[in-house]
Amino acid sequence: MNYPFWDVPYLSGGGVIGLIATYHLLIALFAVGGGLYLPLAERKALKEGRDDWFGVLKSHSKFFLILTAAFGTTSGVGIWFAIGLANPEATSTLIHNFVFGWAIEYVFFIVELTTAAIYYYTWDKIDPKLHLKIGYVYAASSWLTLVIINGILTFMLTPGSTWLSVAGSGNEASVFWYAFFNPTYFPSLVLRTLISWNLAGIWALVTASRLDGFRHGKLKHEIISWSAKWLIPGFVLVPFCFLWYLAMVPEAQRQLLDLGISTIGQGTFTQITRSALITVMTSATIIALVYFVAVRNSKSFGLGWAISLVLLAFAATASTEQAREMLRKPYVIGDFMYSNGVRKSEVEKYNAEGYLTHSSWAANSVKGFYSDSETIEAADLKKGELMFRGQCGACHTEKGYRAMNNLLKDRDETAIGNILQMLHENKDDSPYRKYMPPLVGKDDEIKALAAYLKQISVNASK
Amino acid sequence: MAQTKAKISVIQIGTLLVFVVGNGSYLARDPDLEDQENTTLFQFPSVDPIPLPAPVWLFKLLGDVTLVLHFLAMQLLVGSLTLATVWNFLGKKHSVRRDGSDAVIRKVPTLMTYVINFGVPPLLFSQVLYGRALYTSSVLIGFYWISVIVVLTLTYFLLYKCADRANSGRAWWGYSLLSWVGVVYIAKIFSINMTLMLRPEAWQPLYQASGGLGMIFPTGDPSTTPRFLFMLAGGFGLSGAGLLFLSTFGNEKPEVAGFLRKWGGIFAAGFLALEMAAGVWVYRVQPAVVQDGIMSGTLTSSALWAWAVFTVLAVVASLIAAFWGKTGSKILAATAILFGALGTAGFVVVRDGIRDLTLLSKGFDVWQRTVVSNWSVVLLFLALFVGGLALIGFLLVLVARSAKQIANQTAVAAFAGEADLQNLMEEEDDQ
Repeated sequence: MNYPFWDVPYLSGGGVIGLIATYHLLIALFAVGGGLYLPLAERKALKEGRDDWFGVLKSHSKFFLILTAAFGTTSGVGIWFAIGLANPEATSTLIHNFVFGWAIEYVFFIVELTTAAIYYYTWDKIDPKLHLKIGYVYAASSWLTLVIINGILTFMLTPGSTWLSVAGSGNEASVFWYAFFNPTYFPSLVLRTLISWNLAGIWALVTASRLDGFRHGKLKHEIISWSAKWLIPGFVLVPFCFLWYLAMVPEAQRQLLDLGISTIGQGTFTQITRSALITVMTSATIIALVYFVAVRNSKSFGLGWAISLVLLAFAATASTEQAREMLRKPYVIGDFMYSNGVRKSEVEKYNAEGYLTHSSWAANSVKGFYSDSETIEAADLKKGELMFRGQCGACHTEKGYRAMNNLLKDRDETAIGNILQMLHENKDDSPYRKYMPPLVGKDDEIKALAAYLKQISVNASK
Repeated sequence: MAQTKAKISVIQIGTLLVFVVGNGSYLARDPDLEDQENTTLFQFPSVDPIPLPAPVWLFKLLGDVTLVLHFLAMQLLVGSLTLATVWNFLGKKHSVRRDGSDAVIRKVPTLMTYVINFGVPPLLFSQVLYGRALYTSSVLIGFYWISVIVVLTLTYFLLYKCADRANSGRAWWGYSLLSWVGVVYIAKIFSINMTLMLRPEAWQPLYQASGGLGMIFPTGDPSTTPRFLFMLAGGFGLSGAGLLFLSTFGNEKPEVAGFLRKWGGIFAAGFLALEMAAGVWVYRVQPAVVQDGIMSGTLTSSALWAWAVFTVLAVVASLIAAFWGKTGSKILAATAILFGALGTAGFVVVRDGIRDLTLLSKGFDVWQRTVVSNWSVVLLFLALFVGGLALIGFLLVLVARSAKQIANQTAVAAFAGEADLQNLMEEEDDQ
């Protein structure tokens, strides 16, 4: 708890990140795939002399510019703000490691947004060949932003043995490229590129759906059919790429998924399995709707259907991101920093010297609790709350997301104490070890946490 | 006197002891707060164990250069949006005011794109150098800090809505007014956060009062309001110079250009003068140690003078352009905006100095960092940065050339069409 804890009731800081990240990904990946869709569609229209396509493409490029600039850019900054609030320690690690990676992404980003604006504002005002070239520059720069950010995102799951071998030594900068091109970098890049093409097709259907199918039946059918084809590479290749990705994930993390799959027959799903199943089901529904509703009945394919497809894509993106996040458990940076910001290397120190004593945000407060509170029990509760904020609050809320009042309902102090002891010892055979960070701290701190959790449990039972 | 000296030495010994025992955390006293009854130990979070991947000076240089670009775009946005909203509200359809406001608002969404994008790198580099203070202050006002994103999204979208309505000849001041409120809200939150990060003495009480969500604003900082006013006045002033520029370098009708020149010049002169007054106020509310540091530092004192001189020159150029210049006087317009921009560059350096000196007085020395550089990545970034800007410049030149060519072809085709029509009519008359 090197930084103050951002306490978001009901949702948690992690929940805020999840919401913004899903919304951002849906638009950001569209910016990548759609960036290629527009010039390729323009090329086709130019080559075949299809003037009727240009009206649709101009309209789509306006939609594209506003969506990616006003909503994509701001939500991207939003993720950055949210991670800094919810987990400043991990954000600081990432920024110290990859500051110039982010700076390089920013350069591509400037080129991307400038060319997006030029592309939209210069329809019919410059030579069509030059206009097309601007479209290709946009496509390249937007994909390059993915090339960069993918390195940072995948690093969080698989930092790689080279980086881990120097982590904490002060020589992290010397292995920048090893950390960047980490084990899951390439499969993830291919996966995200394929998904971006899928999203380009889905978002294009929103523009196409607004065409009057009875006045422009042929045009609408052609645009829809051509857009639908953008979903084919993704739906064919994603399963194989996913297997490739999984093969690169460390065994311990892969077991989380294996465990869920092996217990499906008993009806016991792990969260990661549930998320993965939602991805599969929503993706299958998308492909069925695109074929049967959009392509086969293009004339009557309206905005309502198109928005339904976008919402399904949102669900698929959200569940995939959730699965990816779960796969990283119990870490926020694989094998280096736990999801609550405690470094793996700090566990022994905190167990020996105390967790709160090393927090500038808690140490002074704790002294005040014992001098100001009427009873020791009351002071313990306050201390327990600080322990909860620092070590549990990154993933749990009192009421709401992964709510403690629900998880601990009807458990007595002994049961809670046993769970905490198991988390503290963090033995190899502990059922929590795969998902949760070890509970660190001295006995009095753990007892205080137990008292605080007991209070939550009692309140929940009332 | 002797008592004060004794007090300082106790503080110094205490600081040293706490620093040695404090496990890497900086704990220090601010000498300026000696006289306060309740002196407090200032606590900064521990420094990140990963060393900086490049020297501190490089981060500061890159941060300041990109911050100048961000401030220029932001100042142009704030002022342009304000003026355009007022003109659109007051102007009737097809009036000069309305046409002038339309000409301005069409440029504003693109400006916003650059406000955001030029704002990313300085914040990124600040997080590397000042993360211990900046993350902390951000969490302490976390609710408002994250709300910036929601407000920014709506603001940005509304700007596109305004431009769209301007293109179709409809009024849009209601949308731009909402957008303006959003912009000012964001500016205020940034002012609060950037000053709160310099006040570790306010952190603990604020955290305990807020309960963790960060819904309480800090109070008691005398520099927040002058800093906010300084930025707002500078925004109006620089965008006035921007309108001067638009009046001569844009493609507006002569009466619209004349309107933009006059009002742009007046706004630039008036508000840049106000910015100077606000700047003096910002300086005066700084603690003595910071004032002394600025005046004794070669870079900061030079930058302060540069800001003052360039701002005065921008005021003079704007006044001449507004009252005695002719429409199309490109030199005056370019001079006003160039000097205004150089003034901005000057105050960015002074601002950086104020931040460093304030933090230093509280025990946070930004220069005391372990550096293990990876020059391959740094050079790659610098090469791409220059290459990216060159590519954008090259594309803009190509686009401008091609647009001119197409416009000429269209004009020739229209002229040929008119000539054909004339010939046809003459033939019909002959018959």
